[in-house]
Parts: sequence; C-alpha cells; structure tokens
Amino acid sequence: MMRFFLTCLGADLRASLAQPGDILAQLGFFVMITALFVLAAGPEGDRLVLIGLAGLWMAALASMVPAFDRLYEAEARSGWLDQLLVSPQPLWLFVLAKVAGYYISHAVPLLLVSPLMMVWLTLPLALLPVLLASLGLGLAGLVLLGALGAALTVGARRGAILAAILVLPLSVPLLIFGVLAGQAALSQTPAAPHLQLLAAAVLFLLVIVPMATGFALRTAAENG
Amino acid sequence: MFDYLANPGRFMRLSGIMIWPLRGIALAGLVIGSWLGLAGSPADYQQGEAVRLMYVHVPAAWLALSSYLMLGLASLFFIVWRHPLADIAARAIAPAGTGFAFLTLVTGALWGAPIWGTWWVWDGRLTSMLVLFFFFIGYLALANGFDRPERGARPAAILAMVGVLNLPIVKFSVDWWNTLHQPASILRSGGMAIDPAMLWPLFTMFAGLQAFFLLMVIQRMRLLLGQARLARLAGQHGAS
Amino acid sequence: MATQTQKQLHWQGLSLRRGGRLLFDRLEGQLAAGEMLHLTGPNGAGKTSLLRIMAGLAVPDAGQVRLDEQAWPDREAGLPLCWLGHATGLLPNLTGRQNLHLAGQIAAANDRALSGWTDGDGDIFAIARFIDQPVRQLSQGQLRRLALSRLLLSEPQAIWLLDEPDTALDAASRAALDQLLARHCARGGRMIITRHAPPADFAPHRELALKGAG
Repeated sequence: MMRFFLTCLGADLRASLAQPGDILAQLGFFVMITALFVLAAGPEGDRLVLIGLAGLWMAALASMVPAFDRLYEAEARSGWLDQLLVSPQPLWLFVLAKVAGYYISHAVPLLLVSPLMMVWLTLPLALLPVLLASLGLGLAGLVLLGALGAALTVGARRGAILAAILVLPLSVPLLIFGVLAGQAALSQTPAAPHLQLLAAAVLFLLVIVPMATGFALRTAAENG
Repeated sequence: MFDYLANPGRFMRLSGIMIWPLRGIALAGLVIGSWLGLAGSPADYQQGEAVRLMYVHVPAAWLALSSYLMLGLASLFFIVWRHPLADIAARAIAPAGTGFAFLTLVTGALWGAPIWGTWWVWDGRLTSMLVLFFFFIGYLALANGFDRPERGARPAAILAMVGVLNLPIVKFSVDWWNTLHQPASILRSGGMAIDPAMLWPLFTMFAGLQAFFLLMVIQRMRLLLGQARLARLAGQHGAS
Repeated sequence: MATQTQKQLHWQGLSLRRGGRLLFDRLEGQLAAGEMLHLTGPNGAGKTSLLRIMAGLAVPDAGQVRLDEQAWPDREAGLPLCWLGHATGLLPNLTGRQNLHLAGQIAAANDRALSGWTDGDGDIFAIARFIDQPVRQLSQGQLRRLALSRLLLSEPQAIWLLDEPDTALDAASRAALDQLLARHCARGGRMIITRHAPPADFAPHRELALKGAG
C-alpha cells in the first residue's frame, strides 16, 4: 500500500516537473497579487502591517483556487483514472498521493517565497515561524478541499469557477484560524491556540476528504 | 417509513392529500402571525418598532439552517440507497433553503439599519448565515452545473454531506473570529429576554413559515417528478 | 486463484438507459475461460457502455453481472481485469516506460513481466524505439501500441475488455494484436472485444449483437 502511494506520488511529481511552467505561472500570480495588494492598500508602514497578513492569505487563495479544477485533468482525459478504477488499488490512497504531490509542487513554492512577500508587506521577520506554520497548514487544508472540488466538478460546465465556488466557503475555517494565528503573533499574544485549531481542522479534512473524493471520482466515471 | 414513502406513485398520492391542509396552515399562520406581530404585540423598550422584524428573521434563520441539514439527510439517503426520490427532495429543498437564507440576511440588514446604524454588521450569527448562504449557492451551482441534469445529482449529494459535516466547524470558527474582533455591542438577536407577548406572534409566524416551506418543497418535488416522467415518456416514444 | 479461472462470467437482465433512451434491455449472456466474445452493433448501440459495465466503470439500471455466484466486478478477490477503452490511459507527461511501470504497479502485476518484452523479441508492438519519450510527443498509432503493450503485463487468466483495440494501428501491429488475442484465449484467458473492421480470419467463440434502439 505504501508502495502504491509512493508510486503515485512519484508519478505526480515527475509529471509536474515535466511542465514547470504551470508552477512558475502560479508562483508569478501569487507574487503579482501581493504586489498589487500593496498598490491598492498604500505603502504606509503601520497600516500595511495591520492588513498585510490578510493580503498574503488572499494572494495565496487567489493563486491556488482557480487552478484546482485541473488537478485531475490529465488523469481523467487520458483515461488513466479508469485504469485506476478497475484496478484493486484503493482510490482514497491515490487521492492522498495526489494531494501530497500537489502540495509539494504547488504549495511549497508559495511557502518558499512568502518570506520575500513578508518584506514587501513590511511584516516583522519575527513573524516568520508562525506565518510558515499557519500558511503551511492552511495550504494543506486548501489542497485537500481543492482535491474534493476538482473531483466533484469533473465533466462539469465552467469547471474552474465552479470548483472555486465549492472550495471557498469550505475554506472559511482555514482562513480564520490561519490569519488569527498570524495576528496573535503580531500582537505578541500566544498563537498556539489558533494553530492547534487550524491543525485540527486540517486533520478533520484529512479524514473525510480522501474518502469523499474517491467516491466522487468513481461517481464521475460511472456517469460518463 | 422512508422506504414506504420512496415509491413515487405513493408519494404523489400522499403529498396530494397534504397540500390543502398545508396551504391552510401556511395562510392562517402568516396572516395571524403578521397581525399579531405588527399590531398584537408590544414594541421593544430598547429597539422600538424594529423588533417586529424578529418575527420573520428568526424563523427564516431556523428554516435556512434546518433545510441545509435536511439537504444533507436527503443526500445521505440518495447516496446510500440510490433512490431518485431522495435526489428530487434535495433538489426541491435547496432553492427553498437558499431563499430563506437570503431572507435572513435581508431582514438582518434591515433590522441592523435602525439598531446598529448601518446596513451590515459582521456579527457572528449574520456572518455564519452568510457562509451558509454560500454553501447553498455552491450546492445549486454544482447540482445544475452539468449538461445532463441527473449527472449533477451524486456530486451535489457528496458536497451536501461534506458541507453538513463542516458546518459546525465553520460556525465555531466564525464565533471564534467574532469574539476576537470586538463584537457589536448592541443587543444581539437571540441574546435578549423575550417578553411572553412576543412569543405568540413568533410561534405563529414560525408555524406559518414552516408550513409554507414544506408546501414549496412538496410542490417542487411533484413538479420535478412530473418532469422526469414526461422525459421518460418522450424517450420511450422517440425510441419506438 | 486456480478455481477462479474455471468460473463462468454471466449476466442477466442487463438494462441501461441514457438520457431517457433505452440503450439495451434485459441482455443475457455468458463467457467461460478461454472464450472470446465479440460485441457487434451500430454506433450508439451501447457497446462501449456494456464494456464499461463489465469493467465496473458504469452501473446498469437493472440486472447484474456475476462470476459464478460471486458479484462482479470484485476488485480485490475476483479475476484480474484489463481494460482498454477509447482513451489510452497513458499520462501525457510521463514517458512510455514510466507509464507502463505505473500500470504494472497499479494492476499489482510484477515488474518481471515488464523487462520481458522491452528487450528483444518480446516487443511485439515495436515500442522500444520511443518508449523513453514523453507520451505527449507520440503519434496516435504509437500511443495505441503503447497502450496495447499493457496487455503483455496482464496475467494469463485475466479478463480483457477491449474497445476498438485496432484503432490507428498499422498492419504489422494488427497482426501482432491478432496473435496476442489468440494466445490469450489459448492460455485460458477470456475477453470481450469490439472491432470496427475485424480481419477476415477473425473467429470469436461467441457473438453478441446489440441492435441499438435509435
């Protein structure tokens, strides 16, 4: 079972690396939205600090969510998903592998450039550990939701916007706990309670999403 | 009981019997409740006449929430027993629930205007209702997002079940968020002691709106069932 | 598994409707070990849908498929299944070798079979020349040959479900495919197949004609 997970993960990472343009475009989108946010908010330091966190989370959401509908595009269109469905392998494990692969290829790059974005947003560097923890967890939850949204919208009209409409309301707790953790750290109050709640929300998604997503993928195949 | 009702023909017969009593209850409840609410009950000592919005706002909020739970339940029945009637029930509940969520938001805004002096306050209940409204929008968009309508049934059912499971977390996170950002300091909609004279109009409106909701759902289910039968007949006719 | 191979695959009362139209109604049939079933019928008669039902990729509106008394498909305990539809099932960003390796892994086949045909005479579909190119760069015919090579990974008792396997194939590969089909049946495997233009000497053991409603 572990071998199947690693095989799928490896295949997914290889496929992502074969087309690095997608990842770079998403990263560019993230950077540009952050820059445009500063242009919209005005560069005055004290005010920017207050809303900078919100801007960073918005940029992360805006760069991640619109691409979700393409999560299984290659697998579904090439018929590979059908091959998986007739095989004895558990679907939820494939979903987990896919989520892990997508997290590594699409969320980790955002985490890597987020320290630079902090400089733009005039956020203090002391915030970095809490920010990376909260954004890292939040993006994990978001990718899980994205996997579900993508599976539900396989074969739908307007897949991209539809997947976004499904994912965004479900991501409210991630956003709230994530931003509050950062704000707590900014105001030098403990961030741990918020981070714990965020981790709990992500764990909950980790339990229900792979099963629901696997089921949704099977449904998509059965309905042609 | 569910199995018994799940036969479409039996459902059509039973629901046909229920329609007239429901119409009576809805009409009576809404007329008497409105009269009690507008004329037969006192104004609030703090909020004045604006408190009368409560008689619509609170039942609407309850109906919006309970209809999302019913949506999840119908979806569960549909996924587990694959019965088309459960899908039809879900499809009938969703627009009604969306309407009540919207009504809650509008009456909340109208209520807020004289009390808070602004049309929108990010108060915990109102914000949760807004997210619930988004949940409904997502469900409707997914259920109707496919070229063949029946293709959206199971994805939408999965979404509704995941949504119901997530609702407590969303509610908790919004409350958590709300307590950390100073909540609106004026009286919150449910937090006050209610004068017994206000309970009668509230209950009457409640009964009226509940009957109205059931009526909408049943009528819509009958309509959808009829449409499905029509499509089947047309298909058979085209095939022969 | 030895007993599984002797079991009879049979189906009763299969009905499917799509968009209000009845594709097929109360189909009956069976397939024993070593047999090949040829599905025929006009376009839109439901050949692909029936194959998808057999693969467990679609659910009939009525009826059932069974392997003796066992429900079919049973992904864990039943016979191995090899499905080849219109889509190739090859991930575009991986090479042919990576794809076949992955296919072998998800079908839980062992990797030894994989090395068997890539070197030398086992390569009946002549894929060695392009096996290390990314799949997205390949032509239709090459894709099809790569997809068919998956059949070589399958176990002898497997049930093959092949939907128009000779699409876009050249003459040499067609001949290789025919040999492969014959060999699979001879070794006790079974298959359900649709073919647009079967070769002159094509001799399936059974035939099932779908009339098509409209």
